[in-house]
Amino acid sequence: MDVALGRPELVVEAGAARSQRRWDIFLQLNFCLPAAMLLLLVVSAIFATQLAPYDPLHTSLTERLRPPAFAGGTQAHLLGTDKLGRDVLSRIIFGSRVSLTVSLVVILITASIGTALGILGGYLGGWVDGLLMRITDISLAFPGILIALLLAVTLGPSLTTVVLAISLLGWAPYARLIRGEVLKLRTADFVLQARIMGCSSLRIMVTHIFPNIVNPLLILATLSVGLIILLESTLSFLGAGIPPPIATWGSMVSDGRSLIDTAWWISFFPGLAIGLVVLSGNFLGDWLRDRLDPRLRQI
Amino acid sequence: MEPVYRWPQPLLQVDDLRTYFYTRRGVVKAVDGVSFSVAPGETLGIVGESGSGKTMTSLSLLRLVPQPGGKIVGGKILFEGVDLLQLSEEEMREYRGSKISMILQDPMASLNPVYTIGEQVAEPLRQHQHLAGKTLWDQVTEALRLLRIPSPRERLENYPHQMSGGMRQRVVGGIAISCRPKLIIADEPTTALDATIQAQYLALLKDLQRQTNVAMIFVSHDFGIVARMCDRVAVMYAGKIVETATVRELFSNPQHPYTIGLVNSVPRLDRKVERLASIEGQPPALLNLPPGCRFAPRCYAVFDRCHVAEPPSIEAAPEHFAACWRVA
Repeated sequence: MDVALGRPELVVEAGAARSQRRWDIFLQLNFCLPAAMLLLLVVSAIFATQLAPYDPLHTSLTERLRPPAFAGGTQAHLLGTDKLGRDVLSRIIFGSRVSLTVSLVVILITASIGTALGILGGYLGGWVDGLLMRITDISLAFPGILIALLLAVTLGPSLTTVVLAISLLGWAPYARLIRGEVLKLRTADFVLQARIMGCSSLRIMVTHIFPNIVNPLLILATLSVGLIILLESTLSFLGAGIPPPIATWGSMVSDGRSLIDTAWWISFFPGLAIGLVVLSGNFLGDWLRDRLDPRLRQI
Repeated sequence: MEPVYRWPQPLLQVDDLRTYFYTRRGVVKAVDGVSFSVAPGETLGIVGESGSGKTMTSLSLLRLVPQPGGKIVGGKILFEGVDLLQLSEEEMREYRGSKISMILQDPMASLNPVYTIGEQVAEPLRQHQHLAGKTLWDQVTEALRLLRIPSPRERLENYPHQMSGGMRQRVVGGIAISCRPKLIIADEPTTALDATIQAQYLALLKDLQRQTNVAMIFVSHDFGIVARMCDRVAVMYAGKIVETATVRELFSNPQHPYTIGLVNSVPRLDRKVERLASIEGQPPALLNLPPGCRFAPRCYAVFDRCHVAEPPSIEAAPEHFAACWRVA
């Protein structure tokens, strides 16, 4: 054999057809709209200082309660100002940082814990599984807001508290989902084959089972973006979240509550941002689920 | 009488192996006192109907009895003189894949869908021989070439779903042979394949054995395949081996009524038979077995003693053992 070092070149088959398919996804509205929305979130979070027209904390009492530009306000404040004269648009842009940070950190924590526990329970079975699943049941049954409020009171409201509070119960759905998937996989012949070839349980869990559950994991993670942002907003709204004056979408909605009949824009625009991002997360999750379905994937 | 060929020192010697399943309803004796041996390079066939304990016997040899519930409760499995049942789990893992390996029934299910076949053949080599780089991929290609997979280098990057059933089963064979084990257990490796592919695959296994001198335990319910593949045959019934003999001896001179029934139920071209013989009744439930011979309720030659005590394995002819009171 005259083939040189290492692994052979990947056989590129029907390359044209594949790249055709790659471009097709940008024509699917249920992919490109939510993807663009989430991209906007990421960009605004990263480049908040460059994008925001004003300092989100800068108060100006002479400029207070200005309506949005299209509703009789000035071009200076596109989405109006709140009761302290802070620019709503700038605050929404800076608020995206909180939303994004919280979602990413929480997903990282909950997905890791949930996946580890789910695989352990599903693969090992027996009392390990029983114990882990009872803990999962308890976590799922517990009112999350209560825990979060409790934490906020004892630890004091901060970004860390919010992340902790959401993560504390957030791993349970992952554990439940992954365990179910692993239960299906553990009796699969390829797992037995791996054991026949001398793999340890740990190796089977990490290298043989985990790659097979990446799809549902990815889907759940995407779907949970919306939920996490909603929870963070709820906590901030209740005053147990990130303390003022840091701009978060939830606290902005909360701030504008008392003025909802006169200065509706203070609550409306951050509320709209929450709604759009949550919706985008859900749409993208659904799209991923359809896309990654193994029965559709291989066509 | 033809000369009896005695096999040299056995590679594998199984003594009184017992694998039980502890269920809520009682103890299921899936493998109940099974003894046999396999010589280097030899092929031993294990035949029997579904539920007779063939697969559990094979899994017991690797100590991979399904958990929870299953347990090897007694016996000895001597492989090259080492009792596998005395090894720690870690030591046992060293044997799996590198000295003893196994081919499962369904090639569709025994490959991991997320890895390329190259990766899957490489896995045991990485694990047991710590190969990497060019040596590793040469070995992988070599394993696939042994299984006559066309253009193996190019096939390495394929995923299981890109291959046909026959090719996949060859890959599974490639995985099993990759570390050059001394013994391969093939558990009905051709059941999921169609007739022509089946014949090809069997010829391939035979050829593989000639090239590598690997011993084989060939588990099957198909007497025709067993006759073609094996040197010796062990017939299992309800968790026990009821008869062991060389293939030729077993077919020409079956002793146990169950074996006789099985042999008569195989369609033959050299004799005109109006209707194939069948064995009346069902194998017993392995839960709470009655005393005596397990085949007694279905046996045409049953007598008093059969219901009282279990027949031991009796040497009916040289190298020919049958567990039947009639033989004694």
